[in-house]
Amino acid sequence: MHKEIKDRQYNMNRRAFLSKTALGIGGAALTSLLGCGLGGGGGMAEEQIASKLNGILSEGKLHFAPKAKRVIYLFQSGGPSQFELFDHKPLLNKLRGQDLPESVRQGQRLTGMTSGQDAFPLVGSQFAFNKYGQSGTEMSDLLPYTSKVVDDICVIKSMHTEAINHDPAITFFQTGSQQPGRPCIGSWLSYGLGSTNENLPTFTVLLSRGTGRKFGQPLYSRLWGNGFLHSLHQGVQFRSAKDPVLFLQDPKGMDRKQRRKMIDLVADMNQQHMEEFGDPEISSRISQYEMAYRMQTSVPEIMDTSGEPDHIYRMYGAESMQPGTFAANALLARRLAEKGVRFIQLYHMGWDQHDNLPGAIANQARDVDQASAALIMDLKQRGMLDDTLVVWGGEFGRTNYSQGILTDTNYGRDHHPRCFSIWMAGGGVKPGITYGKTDDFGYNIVENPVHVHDFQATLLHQLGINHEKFIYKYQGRRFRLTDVAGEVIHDILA
Amino acid sequence: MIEFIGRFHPLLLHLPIGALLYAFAHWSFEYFFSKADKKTDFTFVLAIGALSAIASAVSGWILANDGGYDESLLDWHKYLGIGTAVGSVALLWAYRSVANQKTFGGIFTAFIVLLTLTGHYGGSLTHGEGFLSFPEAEETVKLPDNIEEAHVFSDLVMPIVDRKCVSCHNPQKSKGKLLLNTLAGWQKGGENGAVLMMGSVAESPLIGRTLLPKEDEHHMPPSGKLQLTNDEQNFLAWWIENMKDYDHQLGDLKTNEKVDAYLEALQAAHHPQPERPTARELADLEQYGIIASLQSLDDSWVDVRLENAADFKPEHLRKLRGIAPAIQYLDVSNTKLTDEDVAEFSRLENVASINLSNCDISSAAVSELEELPYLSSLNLYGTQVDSTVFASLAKMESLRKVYLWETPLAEVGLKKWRASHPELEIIGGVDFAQFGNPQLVPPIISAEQDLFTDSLLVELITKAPKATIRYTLDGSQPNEQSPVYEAPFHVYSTSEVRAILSLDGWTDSDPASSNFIKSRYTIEQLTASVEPHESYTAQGTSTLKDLKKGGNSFGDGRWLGYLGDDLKLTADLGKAEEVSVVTVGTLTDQNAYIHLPKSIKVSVSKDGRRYVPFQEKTIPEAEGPTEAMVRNHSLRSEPTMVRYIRIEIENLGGNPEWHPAPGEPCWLFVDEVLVE
Repeated sequence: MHKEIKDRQYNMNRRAFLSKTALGIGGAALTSLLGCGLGGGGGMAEEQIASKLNGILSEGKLHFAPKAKRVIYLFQSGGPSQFELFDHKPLLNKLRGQDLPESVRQGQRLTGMTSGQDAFPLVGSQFAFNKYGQSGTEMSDLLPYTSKVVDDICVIKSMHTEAINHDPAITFFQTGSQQPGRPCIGSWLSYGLGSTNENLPTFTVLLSRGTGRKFGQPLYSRLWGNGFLHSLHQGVQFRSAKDPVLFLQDPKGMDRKQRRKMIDLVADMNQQHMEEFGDPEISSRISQYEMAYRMQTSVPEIMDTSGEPDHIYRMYGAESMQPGTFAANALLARRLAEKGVRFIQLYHMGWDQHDNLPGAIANQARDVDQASAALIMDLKQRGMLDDTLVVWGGEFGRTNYSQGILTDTNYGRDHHPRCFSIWMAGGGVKPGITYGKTDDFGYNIVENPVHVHDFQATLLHQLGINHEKFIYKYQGRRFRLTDVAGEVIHDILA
Repeated sequence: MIEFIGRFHPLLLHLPIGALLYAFAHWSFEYFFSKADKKTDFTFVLAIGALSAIASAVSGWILANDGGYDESLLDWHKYLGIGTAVGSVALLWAYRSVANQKTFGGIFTAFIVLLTLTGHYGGSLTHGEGFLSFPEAEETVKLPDNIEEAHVFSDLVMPIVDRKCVSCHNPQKSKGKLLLNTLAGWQKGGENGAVLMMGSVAESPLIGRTLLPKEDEHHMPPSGKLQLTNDEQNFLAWWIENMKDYDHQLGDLKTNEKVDAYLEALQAAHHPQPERPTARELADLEQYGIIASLQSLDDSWVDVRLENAADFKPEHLRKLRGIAPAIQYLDVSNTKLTDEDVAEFSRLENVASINLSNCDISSAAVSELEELPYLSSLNLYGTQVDSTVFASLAKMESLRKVYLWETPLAEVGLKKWRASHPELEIIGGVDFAQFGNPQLVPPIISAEQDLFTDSLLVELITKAPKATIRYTLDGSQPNEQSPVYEAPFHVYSTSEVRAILSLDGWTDSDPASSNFIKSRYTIEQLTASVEPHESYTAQGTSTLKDLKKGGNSFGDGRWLGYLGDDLKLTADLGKAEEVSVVTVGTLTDQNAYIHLPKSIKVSVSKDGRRYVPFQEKTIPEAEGPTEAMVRNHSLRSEPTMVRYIRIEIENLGGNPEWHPAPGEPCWLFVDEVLVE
């Protein structure tokens, strides 16, 4: 028995020496010497928690004066077809049914879902396109409301990505790597910019299922995970059900006073533990308990939209009254933005139209069109569009040929990473422009390609961050959201 | 070929410098500090120094013939270089023959001075004269307060050229015999003639060569040097297009949109920056609920917002005076600010944006802000300003954007004002007519389960504030006479609940409907012929009699899934009962390879050994794609007294022909067996 105690004391001393000197003092000194990003050790994490959830770049350490203070990312999960929404290709209607020429395909790999197909019959949009607004931006009939805000948005028709399947592609968009394990954009921003509201998480996530394909691709919570960053920075999912944040409400028979007492006691114990071990995750845990306690009142307040006037519901559409829909989430996004949440991530599932595309995409577009446009109008009217960056887009595009058999009224489209369309608005992005161009087949990009890393670099740039200097060192390697690539697309910036 | 050797000069010249300086340091150290008898032999290192010095001098001579250098500097460097080469040989000779260490030390020192001078002139040639000086803060040209008075050439063009062209086109380096540092040089042009042609971008190499692709060898600035930005190119092109001489003021020329944007950005960059507030100053404001943060590493501008609007006290605003000149963005939205408090903001001499949205302030408050010279965006959303606010807005010189939604201002008034002030972006309202007369979304009918034995509590849910729900229990369409839903209610028999939502100004929702089925008998025991697939076992066969039906999602944990297998179920009611209907639920979700069964056969038995046929049913194969859905198959027959019921369900066997993957093995998903 005596021996065990002695062993432990020895270990403790050794551990304390190693962690407190090497990481603590050394880390702190290194951090101050080298500036942000390069330190990234345990010492920094502690510092961060101590100073009221400040980000590593807050308090005047941003690389540029920021144009955007927050981001609302309307992620359209599944890969929306650019042909039926944004990228008008009349040639495809003319060549309907003809085989995709090899000169256009140029050996592009296919997914397992169409690689067995004998023919690749080209198919154009069944929905008409028109020019809208002063900018004359082209939009399909499926987006009647988005068509009304074209002068406030910037459509990028030349996005391209490296992944061809859903999960790697979304992971690539969110974390800069196709393999899971890196922090997502929201976590990076939480780490860099910190919070502007102590009562709400810096990074929130809202999910909705589309009517286009009801039981499509699932999403994994690691898409809003913090990766190797401190667990403080992970996204908090707000659900549409009775408990918006799981396990947040007090159990029956427990009042807030008791809860307060309990949290204080646990914090004391954690504090002792912290002094003993010096693990920064412990102080993170203490502050998360505190945050959860405050969220017990702040979250229900945010989620209760009954105070919104009738005309707001009219704007966002009737579905905005129904929790869990995209429209309701878009309205919540505006409410969260008003309260200073930095990164509001929406995911709308169901864009994966491999078959029955015409019917399914019409439903899917109806889910999001009005509310997306309403969000732009609403933010603009409140003066918030100037400093809120809104992004609308999926993880890749769809093929210009039909997956499965092409009939008179029906077709499908497979995944296509070489080109697709997204739009951005506000936050210093040039309004009323269309950027980039694809060829007449809508298969390859012919002008101003925008890679996913370029998109990420641009997003960070608008928030005042130089993506090449925003670095976190982990296990001996320095990591960036944009990995080792990415260029800011200055042409789309006002 | 011979010129090529000249290109090695920058490489070779560092060898004698390195070798001879090293020898000097080593020799001096031994001379002053080493007491050892045995001294190092420096012959080899001095010989290397001498040989490389000669090689440097020869390659340097060849390089000089390329031209493009300041003659007087070049002469100095050339002759000193030759001197160094000769000197290095002499030094080697002196080392071998001069016995007196002191004398040799003197010769060595003199040689090092010569070497240093040669190096310095060489440096001046490549990096420009005066490169060896303390770095000074970059001198910025001061723009006149009124940009219209700026001289285009000297105030706007030269700063660009100074930064990006002059490092090569100066008297020391004069590449292409072109000097761009003085007006005389511009007018004279270079070896290829004039540098620009007034009024013609196409004939002006100054701009033309910057527009060549980067890979082109004539592209300017050469790759590796700082390039012109698009905006700078646009500006230079515009200037050349419009210029008649070099003395224009900006006001003389007609600008275009792009140039205006460039000039605006330029002015913003020249906007004299106030002193950068210290971190302490900013942190001190926190105790008053004011969050003031510096925008970035490089500038002094501060964003100010109020942390917690509820605790805000207007007198705290006075604390801002210390950092007033640095405040660029001010956000005091949603606070209990009054008109008098706004007067405090007239001190913010550099503020560009003020957000007063949702504050209870009137037009009088806005009049306090008239004098702010840089105010370009003013947010008055949700305030009480009336039409008198326009008088104040008109006085704000820099104002570009004003937000006026949800104020007492009428749309008509805004329209008129918009027309008379085209330079101002007035954001004041959404046209609600575009949203039509939208239809409400049906309420949600919610109950613990769809099936029950005794009674069931049903709840109708909507989040639409102030909307009314009307409902029926018999499957008929609810109308004005139908009961209004107030609280959850019980149903006691099999019923179809239908409910609609209505609200003034909206179209009534479509009805929501739900069937709640009362099950007559409970099944005591249920056995199955095959095990379900390991991924879809739910709670085993008891799942089929728990009165909880699976939904449209095959993964919801209430379905038993069988891949390719046929299924035989045997139910034991515990005692003989009168049975007339047997119902089995299955799921179809074609995307997931889940299809309806081919056929269902029910037979019954009193003793569990001998079964007699009860009813059977063949289910037609789906002819094309459908949505995922649950199908209940009810098999009816004459009422019979039985205790055991056997249900045989035949799997479709494979995906149908029209399916994207025809013939692949497919699934049978089963939940809930009901007996009436």
